[in-house]
Amino acid sequence: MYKLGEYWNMLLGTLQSETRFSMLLQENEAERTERFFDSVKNGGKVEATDWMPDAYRQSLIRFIEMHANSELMGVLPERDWIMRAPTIQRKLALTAKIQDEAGHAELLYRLVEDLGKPRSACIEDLIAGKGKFHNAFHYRTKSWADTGIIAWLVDAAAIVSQHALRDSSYAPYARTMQKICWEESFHMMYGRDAVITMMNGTARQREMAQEALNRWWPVLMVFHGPNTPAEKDRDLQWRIKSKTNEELRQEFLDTQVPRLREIGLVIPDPELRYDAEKGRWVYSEPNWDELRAVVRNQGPATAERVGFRRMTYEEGQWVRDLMLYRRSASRSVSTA
Amino acid sequence: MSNLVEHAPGAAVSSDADGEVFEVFQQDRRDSFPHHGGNLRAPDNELAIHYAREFYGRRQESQKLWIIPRAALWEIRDTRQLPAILHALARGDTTPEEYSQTRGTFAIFGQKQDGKPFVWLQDLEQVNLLEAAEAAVGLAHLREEGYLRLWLCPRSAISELTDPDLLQPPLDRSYRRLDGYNIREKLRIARQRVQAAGGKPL
Repeated sequence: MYKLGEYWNMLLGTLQSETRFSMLLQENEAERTERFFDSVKNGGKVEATDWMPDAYRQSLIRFIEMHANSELMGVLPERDWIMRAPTIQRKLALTAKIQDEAGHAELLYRLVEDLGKPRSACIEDLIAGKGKFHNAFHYRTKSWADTGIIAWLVDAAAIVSQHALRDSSYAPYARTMQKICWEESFHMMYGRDAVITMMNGTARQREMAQEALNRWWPVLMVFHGPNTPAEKDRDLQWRIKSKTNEELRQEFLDTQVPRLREIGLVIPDPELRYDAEKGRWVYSEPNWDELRAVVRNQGPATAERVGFRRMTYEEGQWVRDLMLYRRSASRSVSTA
Repeated sequence: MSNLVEHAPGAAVSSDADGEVFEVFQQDRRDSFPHHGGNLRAPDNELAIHYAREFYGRRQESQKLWIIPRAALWEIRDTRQLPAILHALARGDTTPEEYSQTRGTFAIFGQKQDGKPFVWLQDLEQVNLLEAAEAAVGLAHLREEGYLRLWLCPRSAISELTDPDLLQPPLDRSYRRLDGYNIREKLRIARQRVQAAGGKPL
């Protein structure tokens, strides 16, 4: 019988001598990688504690970090309306929604951390303007109706993507998505309720809702990204996600177009119609150049939002310092 | 008995300047046992309980929360193999020695299906870490249900939150309605208005 301590030290020694370890692996690396991708393509699941090829790990970090950034930046357009909410119920519901989104960001940053990029590095990239986040959160909100349209339609577009992510090959991400989808579903109900209430109100309220939809529709049409063929989409090949951008957009249109029309909203795209023969929605070509610029952090409100995030991060430094102090203090007490 | 102890291949550092990682198990009224919900990072155990309540219980989705430092969790990745190989879930300063010496109660969790969350299976009393590992593998076999992986941790490492004032407050401040906002009546009015307008702009 090995003495556990000795065995432990021996193993640590082996793991720490990186060269020996990688020499052992080198010959099998290509084969192992191939086996890994065969497995995920056939629906295999990967856990955080499993071995994975570095390319897969880096793709996950990029994908989930952008998702986390989007949750965190997504609260800023809504935050502006907390103090201007028309009723106490709306104000509380909006505040609760914002706390949910910030919570989603935390859960997603944890996934990224376990994959190897610390949360602090993600936040530092974000406030330096290097982090990516979803196109919708680079635009300004101009009226109360915007918050309704965002909660309803941006969340609906996100739910379509996130539902598909419950099938992700990376199991911790898929499981986190179960929880996130559950919360997003009542955010969407809240937004739809707010917009229907406006449509049942005065002519001016209806105008406000229609004007908000006119501004947000082009943003929604590019939300899922360009119509990239499945074979060229590496995230899809590795089943990090499970549906093409166009499939997601079609799903979004299937559900939401009738819901918008039934309450009297006009979709600001004269070309939009359902082609029964092709079994899909046709629409005017969205402005992909604008999307490319926006996701490169050149959106109308990007600088302001990133600046605000930087300011709150700096203002919150004393809280993090205090937590750290508390942690080191409690450690020195426990070891004393 | 020659149990092997090593890091899981993808194990991440669990403790850094920002705090320690805690795994959270949750149980709702529909669940028979606590299941793994996810994890969080917190500066200490006390704040981990607060964060767990915010992340995993704020919308009244949990009646019970278990908060466990990742450093106290061990994984058995192949339940067919005896003697069992124990993998530390966390990289860093975890050593199995402290757990291997003393006897106590260990909680065993199992993952039955690929991708599904771990579920609490049973507590084992008066065992040390290695005995717990052997017994857990035996247990997984006994149940003949085929567990893909097992986790174990000393029961003393689990902080439990069950306070209904925190998890199921009598006044719902979450503004969530599981049956949705009651939009049926509002929707009926909106549709009626649209029909009355007969396609003209509103």
